[in-house]
Amino acid sequence: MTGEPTIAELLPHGGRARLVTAVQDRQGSHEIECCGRIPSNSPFAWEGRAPAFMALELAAQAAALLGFLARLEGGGHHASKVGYLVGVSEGRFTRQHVPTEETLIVRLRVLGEAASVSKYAATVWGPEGEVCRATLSTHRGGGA
Amino acid sequence: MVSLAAAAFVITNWRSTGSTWACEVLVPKDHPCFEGHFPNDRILPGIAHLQLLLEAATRASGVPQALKAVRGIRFRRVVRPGQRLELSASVDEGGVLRFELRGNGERFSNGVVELEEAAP
Repeated sequence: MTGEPTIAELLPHGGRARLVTAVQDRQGSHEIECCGRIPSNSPFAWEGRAPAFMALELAAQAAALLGFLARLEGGGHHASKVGYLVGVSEGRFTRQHVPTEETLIVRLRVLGEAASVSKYAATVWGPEGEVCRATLSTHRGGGA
Repeated sequence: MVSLAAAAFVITNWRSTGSTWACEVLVPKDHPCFEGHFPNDRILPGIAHLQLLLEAATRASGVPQALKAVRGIRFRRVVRPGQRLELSASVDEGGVLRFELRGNGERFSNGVVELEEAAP
């Protein structure tokens, strides 16, 4: 990797599974804001929309980015990019669907870390306002 | 009209008694959710567990269902291509659904969610 790494280099997700498109803002290793979108050819999409729960995947990818960038800066140049989503709690959806190919914004804040599990507070907004907020747990090395 | 992700699950052996239901699920090796997730290590995304749950809950209620809230879900084991699973659930009158996804004698995911009728 030379220069500023691209999102494709930072995330293990390929093709239409990669939802994050850019990092908008990052506060060290504890907070990140990313933008993303649901591709119209996502397997979860139909007729120009996708279930709002895809916001959870966007947030999980933002969490993976935050963790990987922090490990890179800490000298872990061979650090794993993969962060598995292992838990969701306190999730509330304010709409049922999000439009495909529209910009979504995810803001993620670290709530705590223990061993290889990290917990985050996430909020996702779409073109019509808030889509969901939830607490996510990710693991560096096992789970879904 | 449903998404490719929803349609690709093979749901069989449906059983239903009152407010509880169960079914067997085959996750086909070519399920579209494996594409890109991940290119070198194919794993069913956690959100695909939710898609499967909604698909089965829709079948159980006869009305399209959407996710209103997640009280708590644990993704305990990764689901690989070709995995056979058993999905069981109970739902109360308020739309609170408790589910468990098992396979090979082990729990793959479980949790409590709130459902509502899907908007057209």
